Amino acid sequence: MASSSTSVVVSNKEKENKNTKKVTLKSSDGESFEVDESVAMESQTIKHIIEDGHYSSLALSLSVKTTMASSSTSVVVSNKEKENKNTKKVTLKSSDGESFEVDESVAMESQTIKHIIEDGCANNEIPLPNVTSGILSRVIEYCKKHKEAAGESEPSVTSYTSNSTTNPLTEWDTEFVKVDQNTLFDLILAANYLDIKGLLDLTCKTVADMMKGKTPQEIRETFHIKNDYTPEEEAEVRKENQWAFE
Amino acid sequence: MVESGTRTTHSFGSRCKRRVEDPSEDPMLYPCRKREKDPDDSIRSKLGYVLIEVLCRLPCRSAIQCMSVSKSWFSLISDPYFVRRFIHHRHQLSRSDSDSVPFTLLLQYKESQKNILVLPSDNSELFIDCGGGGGLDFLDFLPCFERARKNYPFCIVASFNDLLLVRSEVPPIRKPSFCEYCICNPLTKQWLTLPHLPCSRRNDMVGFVCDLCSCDKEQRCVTNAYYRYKVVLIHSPTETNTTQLSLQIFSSETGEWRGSVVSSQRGLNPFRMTSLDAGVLVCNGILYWIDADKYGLMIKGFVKFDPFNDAERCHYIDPPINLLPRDLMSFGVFQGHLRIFQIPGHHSPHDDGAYKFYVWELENYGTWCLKHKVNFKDTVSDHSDLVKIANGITPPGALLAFHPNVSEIVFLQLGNYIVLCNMQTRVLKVVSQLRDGGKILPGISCYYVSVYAKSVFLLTQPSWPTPVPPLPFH
Repeated sequence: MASSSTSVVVSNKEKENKNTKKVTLKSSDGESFEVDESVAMESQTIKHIIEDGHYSSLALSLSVKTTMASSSTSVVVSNKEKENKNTKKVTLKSSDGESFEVDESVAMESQTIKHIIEDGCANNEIPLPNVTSGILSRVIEYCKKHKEAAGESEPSVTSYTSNSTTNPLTEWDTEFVKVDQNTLFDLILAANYLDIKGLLDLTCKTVADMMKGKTPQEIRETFHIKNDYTPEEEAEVRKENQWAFE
Repeated sequence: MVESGTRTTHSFGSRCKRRVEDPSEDPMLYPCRKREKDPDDSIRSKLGYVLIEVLCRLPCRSAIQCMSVSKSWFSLISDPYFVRRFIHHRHQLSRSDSDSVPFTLLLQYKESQKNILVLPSDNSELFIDCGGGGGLDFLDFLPCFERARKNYPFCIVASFNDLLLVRSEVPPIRKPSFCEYCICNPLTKQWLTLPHLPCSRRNDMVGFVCDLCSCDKEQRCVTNAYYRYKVVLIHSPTETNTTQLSLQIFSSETGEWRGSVVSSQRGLNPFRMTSLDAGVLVCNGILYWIDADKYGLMIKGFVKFDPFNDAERCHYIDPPINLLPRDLMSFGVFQGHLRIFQIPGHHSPHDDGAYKFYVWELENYGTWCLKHKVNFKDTVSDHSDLVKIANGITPPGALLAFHPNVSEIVFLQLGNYIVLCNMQTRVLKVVSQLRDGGKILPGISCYYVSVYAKSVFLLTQPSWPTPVPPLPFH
């Protein structure tokens, strides 16, 4: 059992991290176990050997019998497995008291949260009094999606660009912002407060596109804004900036 | 001292007034009012932030149209903070957009009849209506335009980015004569006039230069919302080989004209046609003009003067090669570098009769580099007239300007045609034809209109029109 679980884990890891350094542990009775270096370094003894460089690239001799070696290896491996699966998480708490647990890396899409964490003020729970749960859950959705996409390609994907030829998430983004006006504005404020450049750009551009090509009256209607100009005053504003209205 | 204005004499309200509107009326300004704890937040607070960030992403024209949506929107958009933010937001967008900076080439010629030819780029938004007569009517928003109507001297003397410097004179009739300079933005029709100067009898050249303020030190971008400017009047030396130059400089910082004397290590000669027709060039905030020999025929070199950083002296730049009589040379600017356009005359009996032109560029270390070399005989064109001119017995063309965005493209005048020449492909393309009083002149004729370099203005269009006067600094 031990040996079979060992081999399963190692091969998964192989697929994931093709370039992870591997070491081979050789038990006293001649059986070899190839494991990730990081896994092997769970053992301080092995760690020191590796760090001191006193080994050939592949073989370590251990005065441990096969079964013992494999069982301890499997324990080591599975612990590491759990650890890798347990990537650091933080809890974000919305203004209305709801908690959201997210991967730290996803939360750090927000520069604001990033600074809080880096300053060590986190305690793993970060209160966000300016963001409601409804908005926060959407923001988290955005960050998760963009973090995933960034993981698959270069980090610059989540940057400023809204050019659809370079941003593979354009379609997803377009769907993401199909919300009512209030939600959209709340998202802008949240993106500003949390300092998430990509989200701020996306949401502001969406509102700007709603305004482009509309006359001032149409803009008032779209956004329910009261016209407090008298006709003379409005005419004067147009006259002073005539070039823009032509 | 310095008067300014826009078309109308009243400006709507005071632009610094801030009106706190009823929050229930404007969801764009106050979308989260239910959470808002401090009703005294100014527009620049977090709430107005939504609108600022949205408007920054509109085209400039649309953002300005939004001034008429409501009074609070007006306050926000006319606030210098917004303009600064708008301009800076553009800096953060793709920088490789330098290929598509909109521009307008403006030619002024036959000044007695005030002819203007306007060549906008495809993406230019500056629409200059020259009227049927092809004149300076687009400047009729200037108060000094009345002098043009009276046929007093009135012409454009310089440009910087999207601004023009216009000079008009009142000749001595009853009052003492004076000369007035006016800076204006032909797009927004904002203007300001400088204090009057007495008319000078001497041959003067004028330079106009703006020093844009830094927008963000880290990103090294500049903003055209805040700037200081100088208008430099360069008096012609009265004797040959002088080492002292007399200038009159108007500085926006002092608001007045001041005389100054500047020293030169090399002897300078009085301005004659060669220098006067070429005028003053501005490159990287520095003024350049031509120094010719004592007969005014041959170019000896270029004088360089930095009014902002090195105003006590001027420097001298030697041309790339020694010029000979019958060599034609003019200069221009390309993306912050001084360039020379040279057509060597025919000097030796070995010349095959063809004319060539060379484009030299002044590199950062002060050396000239030959950038392009074109034999007119090798040029190709759809237009038969151009082919004739290119293979003619007189120097075929003159430089008008270097294309601001593309290194290998240059605007030339061939005959009465305005031609675009690609120096790599050697293709010549007619883009326009000179007119006189609205009538198109024949492309090939025994009479060619001279378009002097000093009257060729390359207006570039920034993301936000340069305000005249500059926005007040906080």
